[in-house]
Amino acid sequence: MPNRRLNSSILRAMPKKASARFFSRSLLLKAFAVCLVLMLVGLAWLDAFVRNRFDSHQWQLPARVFARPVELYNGQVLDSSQMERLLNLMRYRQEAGAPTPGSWSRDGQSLLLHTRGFRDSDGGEPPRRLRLRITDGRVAGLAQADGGALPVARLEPMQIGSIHPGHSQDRILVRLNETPPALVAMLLAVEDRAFYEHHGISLRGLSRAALANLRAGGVRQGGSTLTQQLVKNFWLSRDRTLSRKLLELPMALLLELHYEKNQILETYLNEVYLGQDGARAIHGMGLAAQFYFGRPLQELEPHHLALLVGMLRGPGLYDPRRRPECARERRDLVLRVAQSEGVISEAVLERALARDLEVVPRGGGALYAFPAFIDLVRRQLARDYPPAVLASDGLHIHSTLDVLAQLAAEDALARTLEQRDPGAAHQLTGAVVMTAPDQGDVLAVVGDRRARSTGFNRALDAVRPIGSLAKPAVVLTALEQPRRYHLASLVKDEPIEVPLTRGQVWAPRNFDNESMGEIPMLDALSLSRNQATASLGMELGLDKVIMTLRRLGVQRNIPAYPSILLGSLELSPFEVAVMYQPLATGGFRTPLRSITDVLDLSGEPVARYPVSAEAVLDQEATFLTQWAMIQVMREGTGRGLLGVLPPDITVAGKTGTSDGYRDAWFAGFSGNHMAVVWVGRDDNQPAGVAGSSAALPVWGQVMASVPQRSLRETAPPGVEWVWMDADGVRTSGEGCRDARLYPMMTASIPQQSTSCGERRDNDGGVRGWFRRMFN
Amino acid sequence: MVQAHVQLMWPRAALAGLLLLLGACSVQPVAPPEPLPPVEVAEDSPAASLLALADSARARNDFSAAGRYLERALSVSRSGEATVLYRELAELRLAENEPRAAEGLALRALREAPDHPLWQADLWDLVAEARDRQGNEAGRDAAQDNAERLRKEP
Repeated sequence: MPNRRLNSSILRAMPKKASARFFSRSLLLKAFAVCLVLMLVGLAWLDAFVRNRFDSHQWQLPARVFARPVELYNGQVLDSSQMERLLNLMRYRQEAGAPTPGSWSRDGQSLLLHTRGFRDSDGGEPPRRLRLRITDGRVAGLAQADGGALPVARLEPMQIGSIHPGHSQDRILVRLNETPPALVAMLLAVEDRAFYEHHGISLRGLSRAALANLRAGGVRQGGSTLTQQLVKNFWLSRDRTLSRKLLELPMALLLELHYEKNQILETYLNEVYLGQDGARAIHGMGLAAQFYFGRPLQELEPHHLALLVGMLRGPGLYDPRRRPECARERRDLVLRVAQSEGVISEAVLERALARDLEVVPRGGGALYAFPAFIDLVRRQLARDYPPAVLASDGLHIHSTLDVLAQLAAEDALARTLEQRDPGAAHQLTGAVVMTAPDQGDVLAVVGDRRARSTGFNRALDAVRPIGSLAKPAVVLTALEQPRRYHLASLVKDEPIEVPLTRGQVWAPRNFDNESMGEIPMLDALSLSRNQATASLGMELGLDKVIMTLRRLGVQRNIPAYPSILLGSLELSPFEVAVMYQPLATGGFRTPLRSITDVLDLSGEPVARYPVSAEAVLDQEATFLTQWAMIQVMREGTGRGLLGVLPPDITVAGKTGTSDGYRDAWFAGFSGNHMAVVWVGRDDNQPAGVAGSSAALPVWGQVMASVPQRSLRETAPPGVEWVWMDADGVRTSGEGCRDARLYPMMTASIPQQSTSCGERRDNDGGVRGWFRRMFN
Repeated sequence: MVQAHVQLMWPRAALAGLLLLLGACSVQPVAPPEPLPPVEVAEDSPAASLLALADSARARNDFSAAGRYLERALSVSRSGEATVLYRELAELRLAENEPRAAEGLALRALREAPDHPLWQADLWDLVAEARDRQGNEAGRDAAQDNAERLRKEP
């Protein structure tokens, strides 16, 4: 029985075993099938993911801001030291014969320059070799190096910043055909020798890495191909985990399945992370070349390229600025590998090993060197473009910054303030705004005596009482009533009391605490007399002066207090520049602009900010005000500048000092430039500064550093030159006692004459004299 | 200024005058154009070469490039050249159908103009054209009166 039981149990068990075997095989098959399906689904999903993401990938390209290109032409004011400073800033290298773009050399009295070329809304400039001769601070000859005539040429604009709101990636996109072949060869020699042979993964590389990891007892090597690295950089985490690897491998295979090798390589070159600049991540070889060497990628030499390739293994570890020894060791290793792989010759290797790293100091170039100006550009851009466009579309912003003017303005402010307030714990600070009134171009903005400081931008945001800078507005208001006023009209420089609300009285005094009695309006302005201006302003009416200030472009609320006549109105230096713009242009509002053009990534124009002009002031009255401001410089509070500018250059301006010597101002212009200077303290305490002693010297240095055109003194139609008696109501004659020559609107010319001068009729003045002669 | 420079500007200026006559149907008839006075952009001036480039750009209807050339010319211009450049900018704005901007620039050209009645008259014609295109009839008439008065000056 037991046997039977055994047999029966065996008999029962047999089918069970067979069925279990059957089931386990079936289960395995099913599981395998499910896995296969899942894998296929997963692969299909990965495939779609890879293709979709790669096809739709858009580089995050921040808007890049460029300075205005430096124009070169015969007669241009430019001395040799300025030119060399410019070339250094632009990272031109001195090389005999200037054979390649970005190089220069001396050739006797001339400079040979090989410019880099660039795109602009007018087509831009090709790279070309120029011969430039500079004599006595001027360009005395400009031609193509082969002798061809060239009336005007431009150096490529310097990049001065980039705008990347919302993310911190920055890169300069480079195409594979623009990439130095040596870079690609070195990269492949070091990172992926079999790149053009494998299909995304390298079994040899993987087994080598596995062996190394086994020996090391942990993950030390990845054995990744460039394709795998790209997949990792694009879509996966940086962790060296098995799961990441399991995703990386099929993705790399799929990427290779769908895309050309060169396409993958180009993407890799633009994607790689190569360092950090504060919050800005440096991506791609193009930007790394600028960041570390200050030059375009195309201009780099083998030892530069080797460093970039070497840094791929660890941008922090081999940071050439922080760890130069490690970086050099790594660079040299790359160079040796490159030589052993036949990328470079033995001779090139020897020369390259002997070279220093040649990394430029951070902040040594033009990039991010002008934070106050970039701040202005950023504000203008924010008005016109959404942040997403600025962050990713790779726009090229062509700004109006004149690098030479900017550097001169920075130097002038720093030097003058260092003389007045030396030492590290200084309290005096300042700001400068310089413009080209004809176009409304903002050429320079300095927001601090330490110009690289990115803190408070005083040029745009320090809103302070403008003091006597308001006086031309009072005079202009009067002169726009030619039947009542002219520059010879007498105004009372005498104590004046204006009742205010709550029993208060406004009683301005002159800065010398003296009163001059009745003086011509011209002297009231040129000598900056407070009492005379106050009495004239009250006679005119505050509302009229406020209207003039509005027409001059003041947009802030202007309180109708008498003290605005003497500049209690608070404005920033930039707002003062806006306000003086119509005075500098003869009565036209030419809106100040910091941007001229916006180009897309391919260099096609996207937007222009054209020059415009709108007549906002009476032309004749503006000319008279301008002329009075010229007298400020000749015999008034601005005469301290005599000798700083060439004597044949006519300039006009006005000093300003606020109560308690807290703020010193100077605003003035020539025929082609205007500058506004403010000096004071951030805490608004008395600073012991006056416009003529603190701001004027800065203004003079700034204006002397750029080519100046004389302000035109030719009277416009409707203005004549008239000899006036000191009484301000009778014409006089040349040589008569107390007679002064004034420009005067025809409607202002008095009918009465002194006995010394001849009797005049309505057709007075020089033109009338000519008419009478010929009639 | 040397006389050679006249060659550069006369054909264009005459053409501009002609266009003003032919194109501005609603502008009241004005006196036949007289030869324009010399324009003060010397041949050797950097502005002259940029002016020529602006002409070429305008001829191929590339107004953006033309404007850029003219603005560059303004930035490198010598004393007395600004009036020509503003005039060109004003004509460009008219061609771009921006008469308000053109008027401002033509008035700016007048501010910089030499004391030459015919040149000034030509600029007033440009102002008249710009005002007419804005529908400012009174302003147009005043500008035309100025132009006529200047043409009658000895």
